[in-house]
Amino acid sequence: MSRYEGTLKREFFGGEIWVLRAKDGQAYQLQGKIPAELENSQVKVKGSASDAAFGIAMVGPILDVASIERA
Amino acid sequence: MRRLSTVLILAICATVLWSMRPRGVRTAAEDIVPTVTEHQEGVLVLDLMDDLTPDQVASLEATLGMDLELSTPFSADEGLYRVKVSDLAAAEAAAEANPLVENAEPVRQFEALGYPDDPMYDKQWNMAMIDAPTGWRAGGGKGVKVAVIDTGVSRVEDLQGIRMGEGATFVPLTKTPEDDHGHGTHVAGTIAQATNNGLGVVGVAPNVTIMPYKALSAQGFGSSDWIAAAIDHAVDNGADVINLSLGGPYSEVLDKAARDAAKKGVVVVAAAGNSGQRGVGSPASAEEVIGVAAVGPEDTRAPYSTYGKGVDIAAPGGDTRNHGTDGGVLQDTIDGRGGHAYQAFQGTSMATPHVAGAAAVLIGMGLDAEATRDTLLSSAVDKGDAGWDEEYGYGRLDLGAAVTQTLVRRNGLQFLVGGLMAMGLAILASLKLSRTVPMVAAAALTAGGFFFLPLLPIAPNAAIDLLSRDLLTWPALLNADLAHFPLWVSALLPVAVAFVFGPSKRLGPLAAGVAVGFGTALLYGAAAGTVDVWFLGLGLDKLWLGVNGTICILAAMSVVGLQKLDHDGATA
Repeated sequence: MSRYEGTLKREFFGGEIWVLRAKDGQAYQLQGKIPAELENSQVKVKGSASDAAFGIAMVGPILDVASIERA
Repeated sequence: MRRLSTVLILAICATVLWSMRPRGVRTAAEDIVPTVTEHQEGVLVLDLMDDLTPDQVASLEATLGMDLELSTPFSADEGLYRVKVSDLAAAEAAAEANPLVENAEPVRQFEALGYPDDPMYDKQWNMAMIDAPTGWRAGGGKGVKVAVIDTGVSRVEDLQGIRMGEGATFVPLTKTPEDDHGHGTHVAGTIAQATNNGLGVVGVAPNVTIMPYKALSAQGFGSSDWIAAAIDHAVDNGADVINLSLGGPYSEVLDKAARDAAKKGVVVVAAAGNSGQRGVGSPASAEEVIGVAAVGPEDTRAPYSTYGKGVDIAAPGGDTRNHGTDGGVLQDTIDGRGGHAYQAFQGTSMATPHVAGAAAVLIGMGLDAEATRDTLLSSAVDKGDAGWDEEYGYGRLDLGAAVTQTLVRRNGLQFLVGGLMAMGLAILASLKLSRTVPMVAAAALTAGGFFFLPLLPIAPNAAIDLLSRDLLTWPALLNADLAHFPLWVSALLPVAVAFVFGPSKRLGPLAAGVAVGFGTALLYGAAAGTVDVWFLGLGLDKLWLGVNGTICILAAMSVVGLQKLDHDGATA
């Protein structure tokens, strides 16, 4: 389990996806239950790289989210 | 008496052919539209001077009495407008006479007769950008199998009537390749949405067979081994093209599966990614895979499109972030509530199936995987830095140019072979130069037409369409099915011509040339598998073409023999 911090963005690539944009520019696709009210907020995420690492969104590594909260 | 009976036989044959012509058959996309006649209503396209102010456009509208619309929501910069008029010829003349109008012409080809009749076709800026209509006229990928490895494919309204092969699922806990996300059905739509069916939107290659493979979950995720297994399965089941609108980190398992598929002669196309940054992942980064970046409706790199090594070509992926739904790629897909909806998506996922569909069109024209890849990349519109660059690869997909390049090469080759064969015959028979020249010319032109015409800077038109092709495919200009009629793709016409005109001093060499040229086209069709013959399958069509091509050459040889006898007799 690792910790990540960045801005939570809602994006659309063949459907809605949640993206964590870290300060260094790296983007992570978040997989799991994401509270919509956190959109555009700075958030802290605990999660791990997903086994199903391939997908349609292709914005960056896919994280299985264990917890997400406002930073 | 012999002449009379020959004419009678020919007349009977012609009548039989005519009476057996296909009627009421509306084939997908190959019907050619006649030229504009007087007082024909239609749509005129106006290319205005650049940088006109809205006031100038308004005053032009008032002067011409036309209510101009932008050709697409993004045509303002180029000054491209369209307008429906009741008399095309008169409106064109009036518009051209105005100094603010650089050029005016009727909407060419299909649109002039409401082709295609899919009501939302005018929202598909992407199909215009790659010149999809030229691909439809070139067969639309008939007989080609395209595997869509994705979230599955559902037979939504606008995929009805499309050939769909047996699929498979590689996602645990699913039993069928039915789409439970919407992405895969959308991607399949870009490749093969039912076209000219009066519904919804169009696809790039509507005559292909889609092989639906589900390797991504309902959430749009999958593991490298599911996808690799789907690739292997597609290859084993005869896929010609594999579409991978998916990606992820580097994976040797996935790259190897994609490489192996490419080595077995399958065209593998994959999305470059949507990170907006440098760094293309698997499988697009594999060298043998065609990696596809995305352009938006303004034909520049979409902001999300991943760039770097691994990008080979760019294609329309849309940009809904900056242009709303008008800027997306519109296709029919499931709506998640048991129904379907026409949805505008963006992404390199959407760009990829444009390239897969284009590959299918070229394969349908007889190219192998390697030639298909080369043609797609070399005919792309170069963008960004000259030659290859990180953002666009070799350029943006141009299916129209790829088809033209393929036709010019094929007809050019047939021209050359036809001419050389005729020359060989003439030399063998020591024909006089005065008879050799017309024979060689007739053979080359029958076999390949004026193949170079499409390369000249002339706007494409019906005359060029006719003159730049081999005689064998002329009937396709009237009706695509006629070109596959067994008695047409046979030695009948050349043998008849040889029989009637062979003995003539003037026309004999021309008749021999026609027979050699027609035979060349038949033999090429047999060798390359580019000519389908009605009622014949399972390789019988190739046998038919081969035998008839040979008969043509034999007919030419007998005419050459007669000619030789004739001038030997004359000199003796």
